[in-house]
Amino acid sequence: MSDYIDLAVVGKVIAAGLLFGAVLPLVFATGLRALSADTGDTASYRSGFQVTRSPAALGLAAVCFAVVAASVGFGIYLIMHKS
Amino acid sequence: MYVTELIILVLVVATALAFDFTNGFHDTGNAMATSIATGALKPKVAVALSAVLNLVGAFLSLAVAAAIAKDLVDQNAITLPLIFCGLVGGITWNLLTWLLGLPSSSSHALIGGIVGAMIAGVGTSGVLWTGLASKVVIPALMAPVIAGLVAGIGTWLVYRSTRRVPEGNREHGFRWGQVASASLVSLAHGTNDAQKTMGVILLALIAYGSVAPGGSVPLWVVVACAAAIALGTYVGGWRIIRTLGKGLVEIESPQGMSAESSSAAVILASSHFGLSLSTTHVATGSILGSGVGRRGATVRWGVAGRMVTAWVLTLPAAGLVGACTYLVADAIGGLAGIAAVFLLMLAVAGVMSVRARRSPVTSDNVNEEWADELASPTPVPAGR
Repeated sequence: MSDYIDLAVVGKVIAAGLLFGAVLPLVFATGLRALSADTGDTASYRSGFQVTRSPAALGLAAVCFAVVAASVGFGIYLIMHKS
Repeated sequence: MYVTELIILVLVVATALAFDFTNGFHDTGNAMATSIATGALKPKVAVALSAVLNLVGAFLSLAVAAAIAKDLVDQNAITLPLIFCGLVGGITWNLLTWLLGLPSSSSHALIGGIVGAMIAGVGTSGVLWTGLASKVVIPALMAPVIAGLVAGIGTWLVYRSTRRVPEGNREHGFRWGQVASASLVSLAHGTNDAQKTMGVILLALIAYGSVAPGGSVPLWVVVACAAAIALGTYVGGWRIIRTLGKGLVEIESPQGMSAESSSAAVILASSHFGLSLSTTHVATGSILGSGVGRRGATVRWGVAGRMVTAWVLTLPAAGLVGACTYLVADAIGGLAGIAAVFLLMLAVAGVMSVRARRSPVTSDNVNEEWADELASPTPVPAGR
C-alpha cells in the first residue's frame, strides 16, 4: 500500500492544512471579536452606543490581523517559488 | 509536408488554448462561488478579480515542465495527434459538466483524454497504471476528505469564537477575510493550471522541432496561456458557480472564509509537499465541510452525490472521447483526420452552448434561491 500512499506526506498536508486553513481563520475571528469590543453586551451595540475599545483589545486585534497578513504573504511566496 | 505539420501544430496549439479557456471558466467557482453567494463581492466584480489574479498567477512562476501526464503514460509514446485527441476529450468533458452545472477536475479530464487516446493508439502498455492509481485516483479520494475536515473544523472554531459578536458586524468583517482567501485561491489556480497548458504547448513545439528538447517556454506561450485562462475565468462558469455557492450548502460569510482558507491552505500545502490534489476536489470538499461545521446549515447531500458521480466518470468518460477521436483521426489519417476531429469538436461545443441558452445562468440569476434542480434555475426576470 505504501507504493500508493505516502502517509508521511498526507500527514504533513493535513497538519499544514489545519494550521493555515483552520487555526488561521480562528486567529482572524479572534481579531474581529477584539475589534467588536466584545463585552457580551450586544444591546448597547444595537442601540447605537459607541463602545469604547480598550487598548489591550486593539492590540490583540492588531496582532491577529498581522499574523493573518503575514500568512497570506507566506502563501504568495510559496506560489512564486513553486518548484 | 512542412506546411501540413505546421497546420497540425497550429490546430494543437489552438485546441490547447481552448482547453485552457474551459479550464478557466470551469474553475471560477472554486475561488469565487462563496464570495458571490454571500454578497461579499458583486458577481461581475468577483469574476473580474479572479480573472486578473489568474492572469498574474500565470506569470508568477515559470517552472514549466515539458511533460504531459508525467508518470501516468509512456512519455516516449506521446505524439502530436495523441496530445490533440487528449485535449479534445478534456474539452468535451469540461463542456458537458459545465452544461450540467457540475464542478469537475479539469486536470482529470485532460489526463483521462490523454490516457484514452494512448490506449487507442498504443494499447494499455502505454499507460503506467501504478502511477495513475497513486497520483490521480487515490489523491482524488483524499482531497475532498482532507479539505472537508479542515474547513469543518475551521468553521466550527470560527462560529464558536464569534458567537457573541453581533451578526451584522460578523458578516461584514468576515467578508474581508473571504475576499482575501478567495484571491489567494485564484492566484494559486493561475499558477498551477496555466502552467499545465504551457507544458502541453511546449511539448508540441518540441515535437514540431521549433524548440530544442529541454528548452524553456517561449514568452508568447506564457502570454497566450495566461490570457486564455483569464478570459475563461472572466466569462465565468455561472452554472458551476451557482451549484457551488447556492446548491451544495447555504453559505454565510464566516463559512465562506473558512472554506476558502481551507482551500488555499490545502492547495498550497499539497503543491509544496508534492501531493497532487485537484483544485476542484479541494474547493468542493471545503465548501461541503463549511456546511457540516456550522450547526443548522443546510447541506444538500443529493447535490454532493451528483458531483461525486461526475468525478468518478471524469477519467473514463474523457478517456472514451479521447480514444474515439483518436480512432477517427487515425482512420482518416494525417492533417485531414486532425481537421475532421477539430471540426467535430467545434460542432459539439456549438450544440452544448445552444442547449445552455435554453436555461441560462448569468450574473443576474446566479444567486436565485435554489429549488431542487441541476443548473436550471428560474429564468432571468425580465427587465433586469
